[in-house]
Amino acid sequence: MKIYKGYRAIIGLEVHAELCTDTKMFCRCKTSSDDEPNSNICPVCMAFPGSLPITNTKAVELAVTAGIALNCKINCYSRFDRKNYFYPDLPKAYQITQFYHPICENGFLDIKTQDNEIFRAGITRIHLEEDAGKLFHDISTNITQIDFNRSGVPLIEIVSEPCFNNSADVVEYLKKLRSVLIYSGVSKCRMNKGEFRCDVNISVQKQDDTTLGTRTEIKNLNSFKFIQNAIDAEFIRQVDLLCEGNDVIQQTLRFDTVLCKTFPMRSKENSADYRYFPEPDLKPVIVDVSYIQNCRRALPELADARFKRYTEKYLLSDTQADALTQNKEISDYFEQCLKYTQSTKTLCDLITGEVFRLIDDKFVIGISAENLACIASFCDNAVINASTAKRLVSELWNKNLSTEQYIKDNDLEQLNDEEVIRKIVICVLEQNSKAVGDFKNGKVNAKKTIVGAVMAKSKGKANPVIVQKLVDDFLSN
Amino acid sequence: MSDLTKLDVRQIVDGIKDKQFSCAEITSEYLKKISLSSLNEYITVCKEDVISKAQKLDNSKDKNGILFGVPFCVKDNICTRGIKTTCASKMLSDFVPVGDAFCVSLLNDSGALLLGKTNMDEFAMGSTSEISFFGTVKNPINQNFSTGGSSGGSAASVSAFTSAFSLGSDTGGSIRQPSALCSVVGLKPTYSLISRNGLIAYASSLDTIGPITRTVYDSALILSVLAKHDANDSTSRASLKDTHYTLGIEDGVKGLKIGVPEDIFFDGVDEDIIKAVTSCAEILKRGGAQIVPIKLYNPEITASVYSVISCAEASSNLARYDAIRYGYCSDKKVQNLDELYCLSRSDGFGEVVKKRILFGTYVLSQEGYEKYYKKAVQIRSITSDHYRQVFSVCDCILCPTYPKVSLPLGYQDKNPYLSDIFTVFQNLCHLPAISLSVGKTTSGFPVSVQLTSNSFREDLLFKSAYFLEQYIKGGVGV
Repeated sequence: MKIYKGYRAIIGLEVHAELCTDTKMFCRCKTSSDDEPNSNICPVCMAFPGSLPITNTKAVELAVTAGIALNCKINCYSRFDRKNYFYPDLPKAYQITQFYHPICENGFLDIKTQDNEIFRAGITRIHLEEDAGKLFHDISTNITQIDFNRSGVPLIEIVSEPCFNNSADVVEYLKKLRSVLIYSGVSKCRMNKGEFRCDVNISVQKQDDTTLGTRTEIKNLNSFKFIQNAIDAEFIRQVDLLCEGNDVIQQTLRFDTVLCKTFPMRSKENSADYRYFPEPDLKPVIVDVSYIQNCRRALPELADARFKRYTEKYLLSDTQADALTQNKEISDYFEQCLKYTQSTKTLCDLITGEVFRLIDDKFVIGISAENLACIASFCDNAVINASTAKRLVSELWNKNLSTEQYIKDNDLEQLNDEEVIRKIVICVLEQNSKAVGDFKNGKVNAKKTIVGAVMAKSKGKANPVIVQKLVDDFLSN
Repeated sequence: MSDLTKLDVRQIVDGIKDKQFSCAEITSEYLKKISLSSLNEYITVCKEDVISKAQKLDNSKDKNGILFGVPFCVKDNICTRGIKTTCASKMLSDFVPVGDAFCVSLLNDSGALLLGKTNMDEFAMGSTSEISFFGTVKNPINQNFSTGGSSGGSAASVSAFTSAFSLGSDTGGSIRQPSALCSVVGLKPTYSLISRNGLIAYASSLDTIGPITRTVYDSALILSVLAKHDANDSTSRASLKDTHYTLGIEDGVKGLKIGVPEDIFFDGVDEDIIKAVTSCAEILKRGGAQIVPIKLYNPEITASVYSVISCAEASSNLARYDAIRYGYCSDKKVQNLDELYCLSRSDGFGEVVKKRILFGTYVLSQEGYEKYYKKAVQIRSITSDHYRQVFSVCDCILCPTYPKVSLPLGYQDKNPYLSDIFTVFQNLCHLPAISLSVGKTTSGFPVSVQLTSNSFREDLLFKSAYFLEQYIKGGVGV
């Protein structure tokens, strides 16, 4: 809802995305998160005395790439700063981030609103920083454990303008942002692995007012659904507070997904004093114009561009193109298949129908692009019929066989010989005189039974178009 | 064989090469001297390790290291693998690093032998080496007097012949001032020339590692080994080529312009030191140099700028000592995380360290940032401009290292920051400087002077300092 009791919500987002680098932001430790706790650590990311940071140049490249994909101005000069605070998951007791001079600024992302309009969401800045470790609280033993594998992992923080007024737009923006980051190769954005995190800043103002109200920050939201619910709940809470004559207190909140309410996270502290100052151990980040141009040239095709190509060049419907581009792995697979076939529509149907159905949680596609492409081509060329094509996808799933060979070995080739089919139709008609009678008496469905019987008799191989035609011919006489 | 510990680095290398003595022999002599020392200059002595290493060197075929067989010691804020590195603090009293500092590995690779880790002011904060968890360091010249600091142990050791050379660290004068008071040669190279990797940080934009030696030549020799680019220190200067600082050291000072500040002769500076500076100017003039009057940039403001910036960076660099991953952890029962931090840090750090952390935190806080830190950074930049100007009219600045020739133990300096005025500007402006003794007072205390040059012009420092040293050795005192 956009307006409540005469108030509207002003929402800004801070998204943290883990970059696709092999090593951490300031040391050569691996970024893999699946390993044993505290197995990817070194004196630098553990902040041992005497250790110094070294900037990961791939991380810089990915930050610039993100900036280009999000229409930002890339700053040739940017710099690191120290954000100082104490917490057990922060080994140096400061985070190296970019406070004063971020690497990218003033970008935007166009999204479709609920009213089907294009809304240009402003992006204030994108900057590089390092992640902290992970804390595990065991309530039963009252012990907190720290895993420093994540300490030092490269992040970009993408800060939006406070331009959103409703939770639906926020979710659209986040989905689109995720897609851009995945397609551009910047981040894998797997939310369940914490590779894409969103903090929400929300305040309210009267409809005719321009001054910003006090904002609260909602953290630890790990799904789009919860983000949406949290925003809606907090919007109402703030407005109700103000209507009762109370003030909104600036604080950090968490969202209780069961009670559907926001609660304060920390008992004290409002705006902490981070004592930012330039990081003396690192040189500034300098990227020149040719570097930026190279990143621009290397930028992969994004989802929007693929969508356009799928609808305009391959004449797929919006829904089909959407289904294919939702997930980059699927879209990449589709692209792979296109190397072997031009039967784009059939291919699309097979993917969105069969492949989607068979695919497992780990998103492993059990049929090679070449094989699926082959099935699509054969289907369009009437070598096999549509139902055989569908069957083939399951039968060849996770098997190392060639489509062509399999079709030959299992005698799956479509029967296209009209004469042979005619004989079968005649035979079926003779054996199903009741059905024929029913049809002639007006039961239209009886024709389906006859067609089904013909298909069955031909072991599913008969060309359905020819079958339909012949059955129609016979029945109309 | 006469006392091997009296040989300087060059003589040791030559002596071992000529087979006059072995690595094991000279190392044992040093260990003996150390065991007899009452100066408390060492925190850790690597007795067994260094003997076995020395024996290995004696048995090895390759004896080509530039510092082959030379016994040295290292200030205890420089990491040494497997050897306790404490920063003279309760906070790190049991800390054992997993790797060597880059400079230590360079010295090890050159064949030098690590005797042990030296005492210092806690976390390099101080100028007397009395503020140490391991007790005060005494001056070998007179044990009722301080060595100065914070590299007091390193300076005392070289002076007392319990090492052939040592490494110290200098953030605002911590190599040069104790070298002056202990009558040895102390070099603070240009910031970024020697890697800071493995140096436990005090103030990241000011800290420099440097050699303390008995002769100027030795200083140039050690610098040649240490001045190497380190990819693990992002501020480390990109290498040009290997520089041999001993080349041209005997060239003399003809044609060099020596800047002498007009404003050094104020109340707080000892007479002997003022006389020494004047005499040295004369000596250099006799060598063909030209004396040019210059001005130091407002010393009082510079001292304040130094104090703001060094404490600010220190408050951040020392925040990692939070009792979580290493270091001292309070054994008192704590109710929550804040208490763990407070108790461990209050107990683990000494008073001076705590004061500087508090001050540093304040100048970076919302309240203090504009007033102090931001201003200090701006003035730092102006100060650098000033010295750029100065070095456009002279090659080296000649001035005192320290205003006093001696510091009795327990001396309470009314204005400790003003005593640093001759040494802090070089750290702020990334200029190299060398201190050397040029004479003695009647009570036997060393009288030292300091030469400062433009960034990366250590060659000019060595030429001038060598000239002075040799001239004075030649018998003509000051």
